[in-house]
Amino acid sequence: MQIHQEECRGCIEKCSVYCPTKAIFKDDDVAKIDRDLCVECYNCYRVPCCPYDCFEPEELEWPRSFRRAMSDPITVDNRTGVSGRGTAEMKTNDVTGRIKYGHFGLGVELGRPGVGTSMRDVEKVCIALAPYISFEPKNPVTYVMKDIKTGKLREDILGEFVLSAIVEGDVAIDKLEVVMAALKKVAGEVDTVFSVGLSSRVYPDGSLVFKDQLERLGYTPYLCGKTNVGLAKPAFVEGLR
Amino acid sequence: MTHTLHRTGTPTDQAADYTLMAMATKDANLKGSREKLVGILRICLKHNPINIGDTQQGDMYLLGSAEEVFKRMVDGAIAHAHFDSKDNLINSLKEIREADLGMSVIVTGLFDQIKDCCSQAGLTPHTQALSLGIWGKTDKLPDRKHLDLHTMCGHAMVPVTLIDSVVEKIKAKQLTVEQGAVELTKPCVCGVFNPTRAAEVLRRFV
Repeated sequence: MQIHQEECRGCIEKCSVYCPTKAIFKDDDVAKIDRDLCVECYNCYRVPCCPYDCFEPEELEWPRSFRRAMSDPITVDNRTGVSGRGTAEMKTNDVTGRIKYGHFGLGVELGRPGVGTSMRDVEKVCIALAPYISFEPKNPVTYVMKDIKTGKLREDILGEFVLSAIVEGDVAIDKLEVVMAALKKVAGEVDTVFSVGLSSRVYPDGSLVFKDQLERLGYTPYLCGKTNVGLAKPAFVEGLR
Repeated sequence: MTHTLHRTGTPTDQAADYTLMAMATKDANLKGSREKLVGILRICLKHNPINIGDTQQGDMYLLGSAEEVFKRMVDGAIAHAHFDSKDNLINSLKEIREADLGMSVIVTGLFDQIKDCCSQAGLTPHTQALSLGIWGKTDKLPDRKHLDLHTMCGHAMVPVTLIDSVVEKIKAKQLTVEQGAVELTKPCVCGVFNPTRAAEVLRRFV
């Protein structure tokens, strides 16, 4: 993102409040952007907050374009057809059958809520989970892995700072305990926050595949969450094991 | 993309906070999905949603109206309707089931309430996603009131700085609480920000 300096009147209180990473600052009576902090989310441009239309997107080259893919919710990933920072995960599970009985979907969103994350911290979580998870092949973070067996990311994106990034994949239910332990350990090693989400098929009695194990391990999920109500066609059909 | 998961708030607040999302799947039912997704949102529109949006285009507060959202939607749109009433969600789900449009439909809300909604609408939950909360350097987080507003936009487009700015304008009587809630709703392009609930939380600031 860039601000046309010749048009800017310096009324920074109108635009800076829309920046989730506090990248807009005042210098020489005009608004400027700290490019290290700017995650290219385009919030300032889209709202729009500038009465003089000073904000203008610039051509982004790799790896800066990766910032935008991980930060601007309107960008659509051509490989998944999904906008946002992840995949369709459980949302289309009634068609894809991606999450099956005996398994759960794990989504670890680094930088959320509102803190942002370096890709180096994202790599730490990928490495911690790699022994136990089948990384989702269509996830944008998986795309930038140089080795899905180790979870190591490509060097060219490690210096990037993004609003959030989701490490996502499929885990066998018997790995729940060890995965939670790995996450607990890496939580003390990153310089950001992450939000942890688990997805599961619902049994005919309404219970979740991992409900008992989670309770036994002492984890208490939020009372609020997402439910796919199974209306899609063509429906994926899977028998109970 | 887990943009409606991880919403914080009291059970009382969340009992008036329901998102309905509809989407197609690439390589399965994407072609021709625009009409079906608009159809689902038009059903929702009959049952008093407080927000309508498409992640790829924007919400009704940003674009000006629900019709403007519909006009811009394309195949593969990610359609959202937001409700502050459980009954309105149930009535929408009933009609969507009867319309049989074949899109994936996902609802976000308190699990016990959603279970009841599904039961009343004749639906069987297929898959669920739950949140184990926020881990890591949680000392970087804002306080709970800010978090309850901020996490209503899972893409973090409602920054803490904007919340503070709106609170100051309300205190200075430049905005009413309701107008402030709308200002917070605009940046959330998906249409999953709840202005009714936001107004309630803003009252606790002032």
